[in-house]
Amino acid sequence: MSNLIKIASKEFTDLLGNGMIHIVLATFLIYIFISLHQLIGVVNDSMSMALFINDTGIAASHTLFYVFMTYGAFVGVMIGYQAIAKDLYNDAMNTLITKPVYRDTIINGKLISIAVFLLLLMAIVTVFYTSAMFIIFGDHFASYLSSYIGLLPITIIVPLLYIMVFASLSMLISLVINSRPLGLTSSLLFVYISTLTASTNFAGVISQMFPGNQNYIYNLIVGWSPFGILLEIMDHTFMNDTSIIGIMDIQGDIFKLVLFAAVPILLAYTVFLRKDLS
Amino acid sequence: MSGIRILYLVAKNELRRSLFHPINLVLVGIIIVLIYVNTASYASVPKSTTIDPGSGGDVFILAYKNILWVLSYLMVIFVGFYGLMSVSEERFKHVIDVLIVKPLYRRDVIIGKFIGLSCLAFIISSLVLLLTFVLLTSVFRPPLSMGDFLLRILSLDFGLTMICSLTAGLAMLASLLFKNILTSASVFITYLFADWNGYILGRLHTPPISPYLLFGKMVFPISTGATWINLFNANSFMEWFGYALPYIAVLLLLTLLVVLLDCFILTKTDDTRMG
Repeated sequence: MSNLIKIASKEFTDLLGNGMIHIVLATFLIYIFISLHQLIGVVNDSMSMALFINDTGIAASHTLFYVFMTYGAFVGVMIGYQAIAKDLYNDAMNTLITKPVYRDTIINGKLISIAVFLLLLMAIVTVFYTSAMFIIFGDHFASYLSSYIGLLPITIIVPLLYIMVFASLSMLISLVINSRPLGLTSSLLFVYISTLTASTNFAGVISQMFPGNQNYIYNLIVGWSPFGILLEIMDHTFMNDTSIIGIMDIQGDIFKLVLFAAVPILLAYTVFLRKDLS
Repeated sequence: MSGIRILYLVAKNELRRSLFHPINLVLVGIIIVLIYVNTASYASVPKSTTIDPGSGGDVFILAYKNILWVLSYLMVIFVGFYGLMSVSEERFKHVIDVLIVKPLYRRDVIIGKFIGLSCLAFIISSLVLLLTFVLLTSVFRPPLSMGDFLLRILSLDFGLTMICSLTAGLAMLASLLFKNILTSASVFITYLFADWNGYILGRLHTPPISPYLLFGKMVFPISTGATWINLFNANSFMEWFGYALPYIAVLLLLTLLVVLLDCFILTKTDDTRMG
């Protein structure tokens, strides 16, 4: 246990000192700024607000969820990939495996530090976003604060799971593929495929090729794409039904996300145990 | 050796290396699935359908519009990463150190690599457009006017090649600016998100200066107000070309600028080692 904490804290410190994080945080903040600009338009438009039951708190949560979801996948790829790759290439991994620690402890430590780091990053972005909401909307936003805060756990935890899917996939890929640009391309391809399979141009057309219930086939394809799962959760949580029953509906989707994140990690254990490091 | 011969050799080496890379099998696989799915949706469209009432363009050429974003993004990812790999991987493996002690200018290394990657982009783009044409003709019908279709499709081929080349140039720039290979890759990934997924520059209403915005304006030059004129629905090729010409010129100028910047940075760099 102490080894796990040591590896996790070392990785967390490395992440904090990594120059890449400045790029990630700056991009998040710029993206938040642009999304806020669009949110002002949404709040002032009664037709758009009807989608969110005229609740500014729900509309604000929806925007934040979307920001985490779109850029998050890219952040997951970057952080997950570099967590393993940097140690493999600067020989730190060779030193680490000569120590009396299990190889799976190394992966677990890195995974925990990535999750904690992402949570911290998302918390910083959320604080910035919420402050900006108060500055822009003032009392109007304050009156909807309860629904905003009520949805905050879903707004952060679900995208975090989604980001972890890509982080764990990237960790696995960095162990399998030696060329770094190639490994990153492959990791990014999963983000691309995940977005593509959830699109109507792809899932919609494929569903029309089969006889029977086309909606069922469409939902089946979209339901197995991490991006599609998040779109489904977004619809359930922010647009249709924000009651506890609506939240209960997304349990299956959350389970699928956990599964998507866990499978690459299990494979990473196997690959790492059998990998000859040089 | 003459300058042209050197450029030819570097470009040939770059093209051969990227063209026969095993990951291209994945690229080809995704492209075939995408084109097949897109074409399959045309199997149920009556062959007598000519002009799409919604857009005013030939239904045949609209098939290219349906998959334009997904295919161009996929090509940009691949060619961009080859650009990243062409500099950063060679610096990491010290191949570039061997190259620059040879009797050739550093700028020739960059220009040669850029030409090689542009040829790769042209080959991929041409194959994609040709495959779509063959499949679509077999399940649907030929285009209404072959001459007009060829002009439009060659323009699309040129546009796709140019944005991929520009992205490769930007990727090379990232790997020249940042010595750490992971940092340069992260910068490039963030660029891909900002330009293609997050549409950050577009939403900031900046002038079209990024590959995505320039390509968008080139293909869809008039996309606001009551009249929409684009490569797929313009009454004639020349009508579209008249509107798209300024954006094509900016795309060419920007590409030239990025390549010159790449050459300048490599020439001024003392330490070519990679972290």
